[in-house]
Amino acid sequence: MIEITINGTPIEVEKGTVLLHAAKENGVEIPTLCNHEGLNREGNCRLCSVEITENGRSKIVASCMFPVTRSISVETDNERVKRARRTVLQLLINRNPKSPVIQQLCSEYGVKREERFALEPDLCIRCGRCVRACETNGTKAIELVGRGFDRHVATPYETESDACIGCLSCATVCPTGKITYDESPGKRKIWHKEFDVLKCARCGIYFATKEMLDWAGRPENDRAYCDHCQKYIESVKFLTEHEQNK
Amino acid sequence: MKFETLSELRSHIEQLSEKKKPGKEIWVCGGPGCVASGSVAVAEEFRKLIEKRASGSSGSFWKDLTVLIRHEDGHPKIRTGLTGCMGPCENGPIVHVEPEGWYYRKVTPEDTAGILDSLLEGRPYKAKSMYGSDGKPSEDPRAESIPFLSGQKKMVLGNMSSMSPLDLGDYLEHGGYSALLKALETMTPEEVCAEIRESGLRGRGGGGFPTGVKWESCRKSPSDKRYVLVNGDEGDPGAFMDRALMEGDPFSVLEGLTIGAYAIGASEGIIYVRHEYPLAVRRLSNAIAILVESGLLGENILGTGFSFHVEICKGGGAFVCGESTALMTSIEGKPGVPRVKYIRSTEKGLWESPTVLNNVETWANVPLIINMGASAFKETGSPNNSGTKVFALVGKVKNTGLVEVPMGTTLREIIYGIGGGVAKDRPFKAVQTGGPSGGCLPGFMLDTPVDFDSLDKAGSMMGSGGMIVMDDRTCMVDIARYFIDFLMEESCGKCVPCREGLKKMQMLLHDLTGGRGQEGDTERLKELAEGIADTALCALGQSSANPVLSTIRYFYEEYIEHERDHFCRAGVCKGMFHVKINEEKCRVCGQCAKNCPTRTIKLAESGKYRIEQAGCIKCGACIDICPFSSVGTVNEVSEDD
Amino acid sequence: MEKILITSPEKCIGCGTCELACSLAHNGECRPAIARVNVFRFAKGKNVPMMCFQCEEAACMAVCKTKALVRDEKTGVVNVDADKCIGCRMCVMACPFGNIAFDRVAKVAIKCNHCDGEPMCAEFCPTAAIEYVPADTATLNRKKEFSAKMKQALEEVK
Repeated sequence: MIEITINGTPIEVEKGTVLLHAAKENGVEIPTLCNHEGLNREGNCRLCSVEITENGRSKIVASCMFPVTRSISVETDNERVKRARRTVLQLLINRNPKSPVIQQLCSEYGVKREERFALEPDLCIRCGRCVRACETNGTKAIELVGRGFDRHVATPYETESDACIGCLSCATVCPTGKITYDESPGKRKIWHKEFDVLKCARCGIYFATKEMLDWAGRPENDRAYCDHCQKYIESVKFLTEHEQNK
Repeated sequence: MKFETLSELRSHIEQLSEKKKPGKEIWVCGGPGCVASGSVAVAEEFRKLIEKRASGSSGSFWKDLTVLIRHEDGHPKIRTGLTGCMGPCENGPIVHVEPEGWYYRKVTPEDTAGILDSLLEGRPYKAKSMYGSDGKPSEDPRAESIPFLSGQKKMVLGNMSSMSPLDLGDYLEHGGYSALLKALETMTPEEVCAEIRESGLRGRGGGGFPTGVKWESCRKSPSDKRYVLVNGDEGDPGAFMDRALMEGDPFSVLEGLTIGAYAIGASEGIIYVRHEYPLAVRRLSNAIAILVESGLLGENILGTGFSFHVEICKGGGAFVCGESTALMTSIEGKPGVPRVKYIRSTEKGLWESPTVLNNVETWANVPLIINMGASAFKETGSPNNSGTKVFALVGKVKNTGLVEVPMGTTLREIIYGIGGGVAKDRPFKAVQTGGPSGGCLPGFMLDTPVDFDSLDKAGSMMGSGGMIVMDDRTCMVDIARYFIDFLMEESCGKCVPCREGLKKMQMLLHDLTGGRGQEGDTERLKELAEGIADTALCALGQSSANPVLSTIRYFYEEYIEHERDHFCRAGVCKGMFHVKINEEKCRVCGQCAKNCPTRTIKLAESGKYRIEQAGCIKCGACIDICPFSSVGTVNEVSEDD
Repeated sequence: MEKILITSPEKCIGCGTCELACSLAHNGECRPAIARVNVFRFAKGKNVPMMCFQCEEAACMAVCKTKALVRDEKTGVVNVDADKCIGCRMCVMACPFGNIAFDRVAKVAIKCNHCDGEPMCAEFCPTAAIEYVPADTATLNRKKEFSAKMKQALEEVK
């Protein structure tokens, strides 16, 4: 265990714990955007910046990435930290004015969009959560492409990708609502690709793409029902078994 | 030949020093600058001449244009060939003759016979002498009387002007591999690390981290696999130090790397070179192949049980790949994007294994230290900054080129002593060190010693060794704009502050240099730059604020002029100045009128020249040409101008 | 001691209280559609309450790449860590019993977690058709027997 102080309060944390978690476990909230607990951390958005001081020298670090290995003191909300977060938010709101999550954070930190530096509005903040979700799922259909200001999320050659299974986890983890998809009866369209969505044999809802079931390894002969109707089928079996037992 | 044991190598080296017989050597600079100005043709001509005259000699035409004429007994009588970069690029093609140590400038194929004849007769060939200290062609072609060369202390570049980069034999003759031999024969790996730490060698790539400390911490990290890497991804505009070393003395880099591998316990090394350096890649590949053949790389080197393999990895040329974590990511086959580095590479680097990454020049220093010993090495340089540093001296300076000076040499000594001062004797304005992430220092800082700590303190940085001299015709706001444009182009886009922040800095700087500056822009820019420095993910992002912060710090006035008056005093930013002739200073030489492309400079009633403002396109030709500095910029011109 | 949920269809009157209690406990609203337990009603007043079996070799856990599904070793319950769920729905695809679902509003996988040791379905079941009992030999045997039959039935389908 290592003793550190967060905003003046001494606490003990296990060696290697990242600062963000250490703070959270002790009731100190730090705003995040690119961090997702289910995914690898990358430290892209810099919103979780905090100030650490060690041997009299202080610096700003990304708390989602910084492992506690030595005794340090941490400030999560002082003026320097706020200024760092305002810098990040200011840059984000100039390009991403329409995202509710950015708007909310900006109003908390008193940041307003600067018309003079306003860029073409875009919902994507290039946090890479979608890319990491796709990578984690093993599908790897999308990637951050382009360099610098032109960096953006795309499938290879910006066309439909064989790797995409239409699971929508990219859209689920997107913090700003940039990733959208079209859903119509029996069809789903995302990342330039159109999927057939299977229809439940019992209730008739469209529940999953064939590719999703393939990816999860669902047997070919066991794909007729949505999860709810599957449960129903099981209950029928259960009842039959039960009555036989009696 | 293949060296199987330590003693075989030792006796070979001893033999070389005994047998070395005086012969004449004519070396032609094969650095990129000289090649561009025609040095290959000069070398060709020398080869033909010598082949013709030295009857009975056996000549072998070495690949890659190096020529070596050896006499019958196998010892060189006269040899000639291309070397690595000799330094005085401005005056290329350069020819250097040994053992006299004479240098000639701007040599053409027509000069070759004269140079050869005079050499055989033992007198200098005066027609192509280098400049002396008075700036006039010198009577004396020796390096000592040429300020550009005599002001330097060549240690890392020591052998580069007098040996072929392709020939291991040449390298061994110049003391090559005696350091590895010494390390393997007499030192434990720990002792090697300690020696490097003791020498005070600091990372020449710009970080300035103590190399020995890095090695020791890597050695201590538990792992059965460790790597040594060479950072040859030199990306700063105007910098070519590493390129010169890789092309001109690849064996020294590889020897250093091998010693490093032995010291930290690595069995694999990777040289990361940018794809735009094809010659460096060829020279290194050639050197590696020769070393493997000679038993100096590979399994069980010299029978010691120490095995070491080296590979070359070609980078795509992204600036950010010079950043250590991005470089490793790139080697791993992923896009070259930096990783957050709260755990040192010496613990978790390439493929998560402990890794030592050093710059080309750092590795080339290693054999020197092992050979001369830490305490002797420390004698050069200043306290806490031992050894020398190689700089690419470029910009508005008389003698551009590659220079090596002891650490702690002042900027003035480099720019005025070695460089000969500002080109065309214009006023000095600033010197930019450290590449795009460095900073600009003004005239009153010229006595700053060039070392890691002093430059840092001054708000610039050592960087990998680019040094760009600027005169009064350089607009500092425009310079900041240039570097920010460059960095914006090269930002990987991973983190918000660098990706979006550089865009905003760019917008601000384009406004300032485009006459659209608004009140408070300088402050806005400063605040933003400070914010980026605090929050960006990698060292490149954090230092991307430097060009802005250092120019604001030292040239605040100029920023305010751009912001408030929309005036560019240097006469660079389009539409932000008028050109006017100071009639008091004008001596009516007529140069301005002759050189004006629009013919808008006419003799006025006053008897002096005057610019008709209506026709002036503000090209600045008159400002540059006026020998009396009587043409300058003004913010406003009155009706009668 | 590990406790398990045992259902007795013969006691179930199909009142749906369990569904209401479940959705109220988990989501703060009475909405059977998002309940983790479902009652299926058949002719002749036969009703079956169904919820996750907390399988020993859980297909949902095996397919989850973010470790959002973790078994509590003390209770044997497979929990969803909502923070880690990326909404790929692979668990929904993988569960052979349809016992894990995806909440489209909250964008997380949802399943029965024994209400962290106080299952509301059992608590509010008026007829004790759902019981929360210690996993002693008898009950475990009953569960194992059931699982075996389930497996057999499934294989027959294949």
